[in-house]
Amino acid sequence: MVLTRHLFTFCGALAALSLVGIAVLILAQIVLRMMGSQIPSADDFAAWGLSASIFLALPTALTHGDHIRVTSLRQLLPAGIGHAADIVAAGFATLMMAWVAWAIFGYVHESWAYDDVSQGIVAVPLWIPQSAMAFGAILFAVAFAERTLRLILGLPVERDDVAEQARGE
Amino acid sequence: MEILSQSAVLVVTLLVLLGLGVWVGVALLASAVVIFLLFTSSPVDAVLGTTMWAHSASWTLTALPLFIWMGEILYRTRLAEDLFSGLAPWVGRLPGGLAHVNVVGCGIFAAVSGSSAATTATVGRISLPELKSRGYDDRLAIGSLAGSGTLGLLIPPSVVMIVYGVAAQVSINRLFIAGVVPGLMLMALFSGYIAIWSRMNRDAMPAPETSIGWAERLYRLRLLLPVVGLIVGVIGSIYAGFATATEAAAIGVAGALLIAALGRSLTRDSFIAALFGATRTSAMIGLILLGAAFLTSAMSFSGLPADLAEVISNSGLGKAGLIAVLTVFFVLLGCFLDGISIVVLTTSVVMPAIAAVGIDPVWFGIYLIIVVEMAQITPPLGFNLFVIQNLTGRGIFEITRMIVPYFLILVLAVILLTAFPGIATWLVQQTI
Repeated sequence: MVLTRHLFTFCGALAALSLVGIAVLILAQIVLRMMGSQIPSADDFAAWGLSASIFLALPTALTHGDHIRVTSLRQLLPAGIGHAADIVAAGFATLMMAWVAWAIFGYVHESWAYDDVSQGIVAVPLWIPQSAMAFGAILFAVAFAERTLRLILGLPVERDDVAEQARGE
Repeated sequence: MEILSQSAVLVVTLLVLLGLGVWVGVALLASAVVIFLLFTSSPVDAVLGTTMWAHSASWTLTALPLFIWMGEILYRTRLAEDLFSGLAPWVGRLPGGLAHVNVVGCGIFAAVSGSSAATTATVGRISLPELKSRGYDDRLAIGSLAGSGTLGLLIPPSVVMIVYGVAAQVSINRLFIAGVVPGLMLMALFSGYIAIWSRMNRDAMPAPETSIGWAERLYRLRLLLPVVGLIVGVIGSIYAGFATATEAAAIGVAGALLIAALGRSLTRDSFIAALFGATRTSAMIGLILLGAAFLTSAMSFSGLPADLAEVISNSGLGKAGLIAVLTVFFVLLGCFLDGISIVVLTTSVVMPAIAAVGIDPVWFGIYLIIVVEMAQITPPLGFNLFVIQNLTGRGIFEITRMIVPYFLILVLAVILLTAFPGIATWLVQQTI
């Protein structure tokens, strides 16, 4: 379990780097445009960076308790039933995200098998930027599976309390 | 009858999953799968892959994490302290006194922040202790903060506007321009109410501030220079047509980092905390947006929104009737769903109906955001309530009672906006 935490944190760091990359790319594009030049396919690269940033940060957002869920009903339940509901919800999310990861993997595999390339000035094989999406989706399913297991074993599942996520909106 | 069975399946699936505590984004994905399997013959896994890629690798959406990052950086600077000291001498002797700092401070911070929870937290962190130490009534201090904090969504940049613009395919720049006048109007309404309340409750007001000379007032204004510079750089570049929302957001991140560096609050730790916080929040919103995108595509195959649009346009409800019904519905929804989820569900299901009765999508976006602001301060689930609970340690329902007048002002704003649509659309027509 320590291993997965490190893996999720590492992916979160990659997602953060991706966000820095987007900012740098767009700022560079603004400066270059004023000098009458441009970065080829900058819009594509920024968009791919966003996809990677979202998907790679999904697992760490889960372990930090950042993903939004409706807890008002859950708080009304007695502790035992509430815990059972948590397990059912996490188990359901595991199955759902496992299917999503499988479908996304199939989609990326198809891009690779058919040699799909991007439409922009720089033609990049699409499976390269898409693999971050597949990787993030698979780890997200793993994170839900780990959460289900931890709930069944009665281990803590999140680092921060609910109050912290309020800042996120 | 298919429209009935389909709506029933959608509502029941969502209610059961959300009630069980399944994450909003996951619940949206799952309801989409149910709609696909029951009401369409399309290959659900192929559509999922295409939708996830098309909606996550989106250049328009890159504005979202950048604006969130900018807010996270500014939250960790001295901006809130400076706003308070810069504004206090100007409003201290008005009726209502320093409570107006909440309104003006939130209005200014909203113009550099995309989130109402961040606006409430940043301004309230300084203003609530200051107001308390000067003996201001809690009803005034907390109520005005909670009300004004919602400006974070309405005054651009706004995370919820980006979500709406991306999900409903409305120009984000236009939404940003449309939000300005309604935002200023709400500030005037909040300040007006504070002034009237303080005149009617003189016993609850502390002694007025001592007057501060004009030289000192002007000198203290320098504290506002960085934030005004940032507003000009970010919003100004959009209005001037110089930058897209994404470019303005990148400029904003650079500006925020510069302000943090000049204010000596940019450390390695604060940089990393802001960056990681922004990345996780974006992933959270991204998951909801992707779930909603998949639900939208499920429904475009099943045809529910189009059927619903036909029913509504044949019902003789009209624009005002539809808006009245939707407002009640959204406020109820806001009791247990967060603002972003309300926006994406709306765009998935109701958007074609909005178009069918001839409502301008830009205007509807502004309307929706004011309604979402109400949702942010309605219990039991209201993010701004949680923020204020954190700041003050008061109970949710005690805070809610203090907020009631400000909630009613938001209702008044919706009525004004519906009666005079130009409040939102006039500035857009002038600039484009």
